[in-house]
Amino acid sequence: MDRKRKEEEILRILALPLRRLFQEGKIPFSRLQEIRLRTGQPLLVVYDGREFFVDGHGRLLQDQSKAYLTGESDIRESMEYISNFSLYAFEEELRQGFLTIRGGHRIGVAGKLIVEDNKVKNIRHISCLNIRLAHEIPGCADKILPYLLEEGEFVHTLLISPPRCGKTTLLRDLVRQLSDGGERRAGVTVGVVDERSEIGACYMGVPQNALGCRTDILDGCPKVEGMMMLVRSMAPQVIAVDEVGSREDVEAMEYVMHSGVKLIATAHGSSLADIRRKPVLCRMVKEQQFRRYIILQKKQPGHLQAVLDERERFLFRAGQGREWGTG
Amino acid sequence: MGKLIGFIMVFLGSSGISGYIVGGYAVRIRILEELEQALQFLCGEIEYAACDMAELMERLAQRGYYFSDFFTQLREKILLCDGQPLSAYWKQGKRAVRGYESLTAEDLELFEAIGANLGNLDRQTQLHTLSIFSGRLAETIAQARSEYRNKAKVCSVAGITAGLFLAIALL
Repeated sequence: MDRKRKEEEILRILALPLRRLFQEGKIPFSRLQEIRLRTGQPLLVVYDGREFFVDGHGRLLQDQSKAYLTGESDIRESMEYISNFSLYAFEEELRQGFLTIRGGHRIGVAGKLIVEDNKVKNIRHISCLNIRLAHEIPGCADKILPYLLEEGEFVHTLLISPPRCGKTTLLRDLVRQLSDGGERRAGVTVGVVDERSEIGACYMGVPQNALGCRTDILDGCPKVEGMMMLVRSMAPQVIAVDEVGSREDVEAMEYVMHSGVKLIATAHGSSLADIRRKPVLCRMVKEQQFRRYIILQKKQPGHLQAVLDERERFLFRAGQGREWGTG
Repeated sequence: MGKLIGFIMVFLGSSGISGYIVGGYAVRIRILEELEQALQFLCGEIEYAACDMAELMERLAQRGYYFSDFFTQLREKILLCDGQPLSAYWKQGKRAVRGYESLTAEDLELFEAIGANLGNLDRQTQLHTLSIFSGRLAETIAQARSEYRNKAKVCSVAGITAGLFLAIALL
């Protein structure tokens, strides 16, 4: 992603006092991962994997006492910019606790929840924002893609990673490479179900991130319906879907697999054992439905820990002299 | 001959002024009608497409005539995010409405009130608010239409009569 573009995308959604502070401090956005705003609390950022406070001049600090205190107006103003003055348009997203903005950056929100019939209806009085910056790293899947091919054909793959370790970044680049093809590999039609607008970061239906020339994307579409729709209507050869885990997700994934379409999905976890402990995904592991498992490192975000096949044999393991990283 | 030309000129001038005033009333109605259509469009897009304001303004700018520049400017301001609320952008931009001078103080008050209630509400409340403004706008349009008929008649008669009177007086 163009560094300047990313900086503009983030600065644009910040309240004016915060925007000035970041501009004055000249914090490099290339290594900025998160900006955390909490009403009445110090402004926090996650920079290069470490947490810092930010003072009134945009300097990174360890000392909380000198940090800039985020005001209620900072959050309200930022929220207006994030939603383009259109909170009503993000009701569905707010109900889930986050929304995605242009560029694929995810904004987590917290505050007073309105609950009706035991279901979250809306969030009012938003008091905490977590701005997670999206990272597009073209080429980060270069070394991993050969492990996911059998006789030149892509196989069903599950990407396992804890949050914030780069699974969506890797999935995005895998989609792009599969779609565009390579020197000795023809491109394939890829369907992407982007429920949270994180993979393609669509703006008015058009992906802002590079997803390849043979990619069809369903933006903001529930995973289950999206997978079915793609199989029926777009004749994909590969379907990519992010953060699966529910019973319905598994049923839809099986439908995809049994339709002759290859699947690449991601799930939260730090090992295959974690997936085996999940009530519904464990069956797919037991039945060896996935032919490859990619596991990302927890301690070193963006780094590959292992690639396993369906019998859980290591095809790649970190620390064997073949390091791989997205960063 | 000179007197006759002068007579005709004064008469036509006076009638022209009355025609201009009547035209202003008609423009006012057309502006209000376009605003009503814009509100209906907003309701539809908010309810069924959940479009954000920037997208809505862009599409409204393409659809309208009197509000085209206004919505274009508003969209630019929304994307600029320079520290002001949407209601302020809306209020500041009102002079960009073509035929702005034809609107009455009450029309402008209603227009500003619409802007003050846009964007910061949940969908249901937003739609409800817009429908209330739609209702008020429909009443204003109905009143403007009935006033137009009377005023047009009075202005035309007054213009012609005044023209005749002046012309005769100057003869």
